[in-house]
Amino acid sequence: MIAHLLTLIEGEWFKLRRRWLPWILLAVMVLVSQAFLWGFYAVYHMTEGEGTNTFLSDYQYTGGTATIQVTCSDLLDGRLRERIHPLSKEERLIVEGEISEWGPKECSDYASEPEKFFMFVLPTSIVGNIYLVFLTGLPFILIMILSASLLGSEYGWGTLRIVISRGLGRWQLISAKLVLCVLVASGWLVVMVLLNIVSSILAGIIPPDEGVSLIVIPEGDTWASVLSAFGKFIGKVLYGTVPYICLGAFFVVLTQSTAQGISLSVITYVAEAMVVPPLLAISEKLERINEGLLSSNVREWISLGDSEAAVALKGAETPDILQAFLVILAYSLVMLVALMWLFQRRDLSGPKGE
Amino acid sequence: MDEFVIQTDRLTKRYKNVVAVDDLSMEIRRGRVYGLLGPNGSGKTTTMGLLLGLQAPTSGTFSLFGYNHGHRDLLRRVGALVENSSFYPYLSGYQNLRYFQMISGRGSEGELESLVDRVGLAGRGHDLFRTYSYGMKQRLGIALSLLGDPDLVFLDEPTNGLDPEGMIEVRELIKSLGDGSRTVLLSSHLLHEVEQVCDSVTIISKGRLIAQGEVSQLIATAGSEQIRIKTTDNSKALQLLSTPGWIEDVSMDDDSLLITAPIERSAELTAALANAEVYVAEMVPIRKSLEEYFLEVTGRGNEGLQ
Repeated sequence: MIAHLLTLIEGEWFKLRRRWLPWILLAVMVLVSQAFLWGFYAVYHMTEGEGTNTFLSDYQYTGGTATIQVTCSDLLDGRLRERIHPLSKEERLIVEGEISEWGPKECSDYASEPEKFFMFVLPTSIVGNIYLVFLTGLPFILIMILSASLLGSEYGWGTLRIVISRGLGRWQLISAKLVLCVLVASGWLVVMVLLNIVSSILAGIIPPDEGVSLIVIPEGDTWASVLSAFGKFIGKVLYGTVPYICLGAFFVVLTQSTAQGISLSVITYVAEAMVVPPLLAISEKLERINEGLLSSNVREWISLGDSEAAVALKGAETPDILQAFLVILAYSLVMLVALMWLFQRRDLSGPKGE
Repeated sequence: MDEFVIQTDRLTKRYKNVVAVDDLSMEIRRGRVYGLLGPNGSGKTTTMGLLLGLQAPTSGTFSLFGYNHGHRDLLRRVGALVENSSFYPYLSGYQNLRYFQMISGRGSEGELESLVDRVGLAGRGHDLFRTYSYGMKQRLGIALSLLGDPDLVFLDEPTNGLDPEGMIEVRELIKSLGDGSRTVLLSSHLLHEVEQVCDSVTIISKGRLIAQGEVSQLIATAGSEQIRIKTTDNSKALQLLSTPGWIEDVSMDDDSLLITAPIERSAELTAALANAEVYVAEMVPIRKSLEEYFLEVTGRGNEGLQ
């Protein structure tokens, strides 16, 4: 059975690699990832080496003894105490209270890890930018487009009839396509990592970067811990794509159309990740529902860790990592079972047009 | 040994209010070319779809090679061209066949070259499928149905879109496929094609089995055949031939007589006339064609269903 599945995956790859679609989607991912890397590079140089803080927002407090200013960068770097030191004890308490409200609101989630300060310096640049790309949600949309197209095109061209009439087995065919999507996503990640390495080296050797080290291990980290974190991150990201792959495929089987499948998947994603959470924030009770949403759990699942700064910046209630794992698993299984059940039962008709 | 490659038992497929296949029970023996005939919408393609596992029957059962359906590996012994030839437009004809060969896990690249040649696509095999004419697409579909040397081949309107020369080539190809142990189930609306190519036919109308058997037998049992004769005295012959019980009908038709009677009794006919000093100058047996038979039985079938 495994051999049969591998043969089917090989066949799917034989077809897919000859299409433009996966290469176009890869190009989009690479462009966005590179835009982050070179964006941080540009900001670093524009701020004359003060750091890679992209946050313009700052907090100012005028006390009896001094006036202090706190930036997101200070907050994320753990320099808050140093900044508020000139204030009196009472004033420091007031500032800390106000900062706990100001921080989550003003400092973007993008900057929740110390690695962001090394966005164009190896080794953190390897996955740091990829993490930011995933936080935008774009890769999930692209992977849904891929999975929807992989199956939907077969409906459009009418080739599903021929494939099934060759005795391949329906669930085996779907499984091969879904596994191929995960493999393609892995391939995208590999390409992005390699290009990030190349770009980081370029960023280190081209002017005006003389004197900037090509490799900077974050304080407290070792090569082993950094590489282990990368490995874990790549694995978590791939796991996080699985429910979206199933979602794209499910809507295609439901509608038997690539266009409708992609549209419904993207609408569902946008609604679930961008529209529903703000609505749920209206009341504390509703906010708990946020913990069950796929997007919140995926975001939590792929997060790089719980540094002090990240914890400080966490605003709304977010699910913990085990819950995130289970929720992603549940979404994946439910959609997988639904799409297999539907695909197994549906009659296959002729071409529906692309 | 499984004598029947296809057996259906009260096979039914219903779509809401439409019954596409209705209680269809048929048997197809190994090693012949079978024609599946029926008017448009009679359920031919649905029947093929059911047998190929593309659609699920509403009720009834069928078996392939003596095994009940649902056995996925059975379809590995089947090749099919159903309705239109649908392939991946961004792949060449050769790559399309290579893909299907890859996932079937059978055959060699050498087989592909010979298949492409066999169906008349030599020289165009490496062109993209989207650049093919309708006839070329059909040829590629036929090549696919033969990929892996299947024991049973379904061909749904295989000569659609082919030029006359192509039609002749494909008919010859189909005939040759039926030699030996391979079975071909050919669905076609071109009745003369079926008559030329097929050994046996199954006729369905409105999803129901109307007739099944060898082409020659079906025509023979379709009713009495006719004999046209010219005699030295047609009026006297008309009188004489109105008497024997084995002659169903006799009538004047211009300068000849049209007699409805079994052709094998022609000798008795001439003897009877000669005894009465009426001599036959010309005698032509008029055999029914499959087309006439088809129109007759499907018309009857339709009436029966109404």
